[in-house]
Amino acid sequence: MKRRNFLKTAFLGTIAGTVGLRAPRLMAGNASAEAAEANPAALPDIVAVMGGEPVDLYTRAIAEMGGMKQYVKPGMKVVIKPNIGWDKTPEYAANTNPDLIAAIVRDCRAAGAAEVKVFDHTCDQWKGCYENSGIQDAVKEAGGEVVMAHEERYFREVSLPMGVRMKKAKIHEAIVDCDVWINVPVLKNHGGAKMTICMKNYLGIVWDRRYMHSNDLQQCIADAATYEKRPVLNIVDAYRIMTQNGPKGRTTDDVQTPKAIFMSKDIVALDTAATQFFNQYKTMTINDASHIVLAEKHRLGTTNLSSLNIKRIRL
Amino acid sequence: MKLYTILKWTRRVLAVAVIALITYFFIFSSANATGIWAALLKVQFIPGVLGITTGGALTVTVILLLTLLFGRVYCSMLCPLGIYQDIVNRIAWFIKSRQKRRTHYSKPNDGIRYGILAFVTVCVVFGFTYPLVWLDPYSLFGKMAVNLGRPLVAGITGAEYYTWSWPAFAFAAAFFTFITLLAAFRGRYYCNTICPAGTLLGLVSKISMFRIQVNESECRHCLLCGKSCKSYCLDSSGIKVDHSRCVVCLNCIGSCNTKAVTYAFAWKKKVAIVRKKEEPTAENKGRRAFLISALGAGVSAGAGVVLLNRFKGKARVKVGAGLPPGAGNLERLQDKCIACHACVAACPSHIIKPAYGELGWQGFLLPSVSYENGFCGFECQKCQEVCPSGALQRMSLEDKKLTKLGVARFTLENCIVYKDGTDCGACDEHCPVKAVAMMPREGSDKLFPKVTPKVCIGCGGCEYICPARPKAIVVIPMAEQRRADAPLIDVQIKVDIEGFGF
Repeated sequence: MKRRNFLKTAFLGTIAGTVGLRAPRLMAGNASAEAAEANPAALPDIVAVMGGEPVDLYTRAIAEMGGMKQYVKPGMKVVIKPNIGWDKTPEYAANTNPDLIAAIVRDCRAAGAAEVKVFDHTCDQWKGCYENSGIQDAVKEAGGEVVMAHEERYFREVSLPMGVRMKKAKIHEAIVDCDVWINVPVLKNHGGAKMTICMKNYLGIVWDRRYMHSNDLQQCIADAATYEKRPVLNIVDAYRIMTQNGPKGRTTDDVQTPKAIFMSKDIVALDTAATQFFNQYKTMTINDASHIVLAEKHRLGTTNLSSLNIKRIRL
Repeated sequence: MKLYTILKWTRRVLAVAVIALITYFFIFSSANATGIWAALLKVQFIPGVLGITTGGALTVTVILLLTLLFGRVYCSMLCPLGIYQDIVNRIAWFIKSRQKRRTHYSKPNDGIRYGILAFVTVCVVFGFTYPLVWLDPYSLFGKMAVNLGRPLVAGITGAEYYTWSWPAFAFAAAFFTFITLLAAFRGRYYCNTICPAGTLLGLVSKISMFRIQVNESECRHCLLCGKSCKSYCLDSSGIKVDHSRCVVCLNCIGSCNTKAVTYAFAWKKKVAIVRKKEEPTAENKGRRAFLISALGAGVSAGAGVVLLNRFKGKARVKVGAGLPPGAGNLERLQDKCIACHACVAACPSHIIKPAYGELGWQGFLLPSVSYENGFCGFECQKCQEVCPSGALQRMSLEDKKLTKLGVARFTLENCIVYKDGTDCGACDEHCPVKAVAMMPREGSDKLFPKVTPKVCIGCGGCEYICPARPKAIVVIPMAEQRRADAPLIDVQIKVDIEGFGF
């Protein structure tokens, strides 16, 4: 490379980098977010944003949560775990929204993440899921890496000392090896677990889901969530949600489009909130999706939302 | 001379490209059923013959026409087994001593080859395709690539191999040994003695427009050309070229020092005159009688097998495994499939396996479906895309989504929800048409699977994922694929909500 070209590239790169870093906050344009970043204790427990496109929802919500830099430090190995369980395109709401995942990957990169890996142990054939969900392309374009999870060799055994029915599990190596991971489920109903939100999304980091299904599914979900490396942030994609025939769904008739996003560090509280949100469409309580209650018994979080600082925003 | 060098290298480059691509796709691409792969398989001769009503007519016409014009170019440039034998032969040539490299003219085994051709023709005409599973060169190559190549690569890379089958492996290994040795020591012996496609195309190449010819006035009868002929079909002492066995490799031309051997236009009168000269000698008469008896033997053997097969009775067929989508029914699959195992290689869910007993003895090595390692992808029709003979009939995705491979059967006593009283729903979760749905049941606050058989397409999602042992839900395979009822409609009114609900 010629020196002039190099200097030009370096110069433009610097500008691009700076603007990129600033973009979320510029767009959020919110003084409280800036203030919150200075004082993590003042951050809300749950942020809920409604009425916008996936990227706008995310940008606002993460700003309220103090910005991605709160969670991802420069040089960290980051994993983002969406739901990519099904060979379905985004409008069926069977998988997490690809635009949202792309925005999170970009944000992690901007926060200085050394690598951003994305995977799911899919139910349908993995290639179809990765491709048709739009997540593979979105992640690659945003500067992340999609890793495979369809064979047992990608999983490593860890112990779950707090587990009641599941004392050990094989967890995907990307999660085991990462510095932080972010849990990004899509909000759906589920024939077995009743709801699939943050904790049910753990089935995609575990190898043997048949064990979980055959040993008290609800308890096993709560047990899986006790894995010592907790997600540093949970983000529920409720841009499109599936309210019937979940978790795979059949037609777009199964989908509602509330255009919302919820974020929290407290996985139990966020699942509780999301269930109550879902209840506006179809009757559902956390007692039905009892893994949420069981997780509270594990002291993974609280179902008592009134004790929390919740920030509700309509764009 | 230069032209021949170009021609010969064109043949080599094309041949190597074809075999490399076919092998690559057979071994490595589990989900990349690209157009190139399908296209390379669509130009194969016998699959074309079997799929003559489903798009194979074009292939057959083109290949016959090519043969009529240029001789057996299919055998040397498109048939993967033929190319494989050439490669083995060439490698052996490098290893062998100068003396051992030499080949020589040998008489054709007309009795065997025309006998086999007659036998196969009778069988195929009367809808008994099974002999081709053992004889078609392309499908034999496919069987080797899939059942030897894929496990080998999986073993090296440490990936899991899902479609292992002992009988298929044994068959492939035995044939691999046989064909490799044969090619190394006897050149294109298989193609000119056993292969029915080779024999049939040989009948056409006898009268092809361009042929290898030896110019008598320039020939010094040095035998060099015959020594380089891997088909053993060229004799320069008596100037004989057996065009029915020649695969136009052009090796002879390069070997000739006097430029007496040419590959040239042959539809001149001269050839006809030569033929007229032939007089019915005693030897000729004997040969003719022998040929007729061989043909007779072939035809009667074929007729015998066909009749035997017919008399077996048309009782309701029971199958121990399902058929891949698009097979239609067992009989149709047996009519059209030569077990090249392209579908086995293409299936990204690894549900298609070579059968051994599940589809009856006529179904040995034919593709069968089982759900230990996966289930049939709702959005997937890779097997139909690659199938060269139309045995797995290509259909619209909408039709494929309603093609019923079997029907799910639920056994309450085995179900986790019944046995343990805990939530499960794995089957419901995987069902793409909601033929399995979780329903309340009297005396329990839990939801139980309920099957709607009419809607079920037998994709095996429920069976695959069912965590109970023994499985609480299994797919009963069907010998005849039917059209399932369209999934039940449950329209939901789109709602706008105001608040967050928390």
